[in-house]
Amino acid sequence: MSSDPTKQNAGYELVKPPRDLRAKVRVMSEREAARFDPIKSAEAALERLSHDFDDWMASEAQTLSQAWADIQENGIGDTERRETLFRAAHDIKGQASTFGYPRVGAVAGSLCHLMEHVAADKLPLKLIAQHVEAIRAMVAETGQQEENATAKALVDRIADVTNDYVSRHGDGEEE
Amino acid sequence: MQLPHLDLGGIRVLIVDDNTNMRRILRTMVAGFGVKSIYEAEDGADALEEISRNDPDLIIIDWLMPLVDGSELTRRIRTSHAPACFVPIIAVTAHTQKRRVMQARDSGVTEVMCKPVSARALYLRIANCILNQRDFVRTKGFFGPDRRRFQNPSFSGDERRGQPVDDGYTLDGPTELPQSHFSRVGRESATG
Repeated sequence: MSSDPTKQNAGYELVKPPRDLRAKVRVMSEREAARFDPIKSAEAALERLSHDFDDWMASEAQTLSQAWADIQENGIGDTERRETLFRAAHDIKGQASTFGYPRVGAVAGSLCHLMEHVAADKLPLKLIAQHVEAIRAMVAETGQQEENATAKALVDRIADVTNDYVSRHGDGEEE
Repeated sequence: MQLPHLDLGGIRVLIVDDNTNMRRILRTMVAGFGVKSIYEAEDGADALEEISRNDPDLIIIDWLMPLVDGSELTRRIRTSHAPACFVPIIAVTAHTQKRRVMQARDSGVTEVMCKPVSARALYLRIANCILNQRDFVRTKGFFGPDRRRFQNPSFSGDERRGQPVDDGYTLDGPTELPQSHFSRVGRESATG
């Protein structure tokens, strides 16, 4: 590891990492590259995995429902329970498109938006319940047929209501 | 632009995510790239053990995890001993606000990637971490990769640290690798 002494008097020091990672990889020859494309290889591997995605999506929706049921039983005042619900929604927001459920991801994103910008004592329980129920229903009933007009209308309506609520009761922070 | 096809069989990658499904997706992609040594951790404590046991060359960290989140884990890695403190870290987050992405960057990660993760986006960042390995900056309150992606050796003006600069970060990270890296790697691979 070496540092740049010319920068040390400027209030910072530049340090070169001790391990040169380029020494651990090799650029493939044209012939090798013609046989193996790393991105296509990864996409093909994901495609092989995709037969599990419906089950995974159902499992994520179930985790969200359980987190919500826990809050319904014990109240929303507990930070840990709220964080568990938020993480479940956040996981769905991040994964649903990969699983083939982009509209479910949009509803989960709306729930995250609500929980991030509205204080705990102002969180609208009915609206949260509608998000959770919408996700459950869309996963259970529409499967990956997300072009369903009802699903689209539901997603748009939930987003509108949530944005309106956040604009009136939120922290005012812009996305 | 055509990305370089790299033989990544010799690097070790650690994936840290509390969500089993996301770990499988990331592992599948990384294995698809040709990486043979892939380790997994489901929380920060596990991750630190894996780092000490397997000395990964690159770490992919989910940003939102219970107990020790991505930010805290990055801080612990950056304050650990060499060579672990220099390991490139790719933060994966479902946060889409620029403020959150900047927070991740400021905690010392090397790359930030927003979900949903595509194979192309992940490969691009891994390749960038390897081919465009950055120097590290040590100041009184920060140790992490130099935020400037590209340095001009002939630059002779004032240092502008502390001022907002356009350093190439976007919500989607670098869109392509700079051309110079291809030529540099090409030369080096030609000489072994």
